[in-house]
Amino acid sequence: MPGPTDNKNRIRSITVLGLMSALSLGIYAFESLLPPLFFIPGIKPGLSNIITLYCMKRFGRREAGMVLLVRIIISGILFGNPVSVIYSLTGGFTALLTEILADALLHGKYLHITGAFGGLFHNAGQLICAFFIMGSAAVFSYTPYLVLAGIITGMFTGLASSFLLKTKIPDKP
Amino acid sequence: MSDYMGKFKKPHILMSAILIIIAVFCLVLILREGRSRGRTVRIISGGTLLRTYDMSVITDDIYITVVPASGSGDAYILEGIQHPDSSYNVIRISPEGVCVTDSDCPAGLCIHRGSISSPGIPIACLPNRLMITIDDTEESSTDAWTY
Repeated sequence: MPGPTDNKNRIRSITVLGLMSALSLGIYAFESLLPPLFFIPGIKPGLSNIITLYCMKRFGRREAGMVLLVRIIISGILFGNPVSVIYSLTGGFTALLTEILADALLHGKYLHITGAFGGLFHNAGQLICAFFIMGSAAVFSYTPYLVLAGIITGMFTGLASSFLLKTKIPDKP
Repeated sequence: MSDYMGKFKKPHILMSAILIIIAVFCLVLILREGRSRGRTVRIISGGTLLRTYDMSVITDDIYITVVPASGSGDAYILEGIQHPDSSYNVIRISPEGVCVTDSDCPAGLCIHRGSISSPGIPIACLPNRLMITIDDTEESSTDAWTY
């Protein structure tokens, strides 16, 4: 999809990105209803990354960043607190930057590898964030669990996103 | 960037290899985690070491309630099981190990974590900024883990 050059494209891009933000928020809300998978904070499927990856591939990097930011702010207002917003921002944008870089290195192919790197760096970013918020280096003893979980869940969301991208979704009504 | 990276014919093989090496390394670290019994329990709130317990001298269950630092003051410990109006975590220290029995945090991951008795992964409660660690070292005034 080209950049918003004229008014019609602008309206469409606002609508579509708004829809994507709503989808991402819905997935995030659903995920927060699931019981914790594991006793370590931060291990969760990260399903809204499917939408982030999809937006990055289909609409562009800037657009993916906007959808991510909207999702984090609104989910923070609805279900979270200022601290959870800091964790989400650090994790989300570390993951997106990693995914942009990995996608360039992989020439836009192998989205599951991109997703795995995104998941890995999402958790690594949140771990460093936790170090500053908790004020204790003891959080780093969670590193192997979080890194492994990030790779597995990231690969899953990457695969899910590549299946979504193969699905024909009409651009025009 | 893609022109420069074009020199690598198969970047996905290299990147998969990196991921597999990291994953195997993590798995080894997880499986090698200590099974021995630790000696010193540290109760850390917001980076401040509030109290330490020597596991070898504990004979009965001890209950404490940790209140994290808030706008009204620093973190502190209440003896016994308390339910203050502010945030709190109730911790039980017994000869078998340490666990969080009650907390006001939303997800309750610190309670689900169960009891710990060996050095390794600590109990963490992110909302209340609480960490409980066990290590092998003797109780000492200098602590390399806290800041």
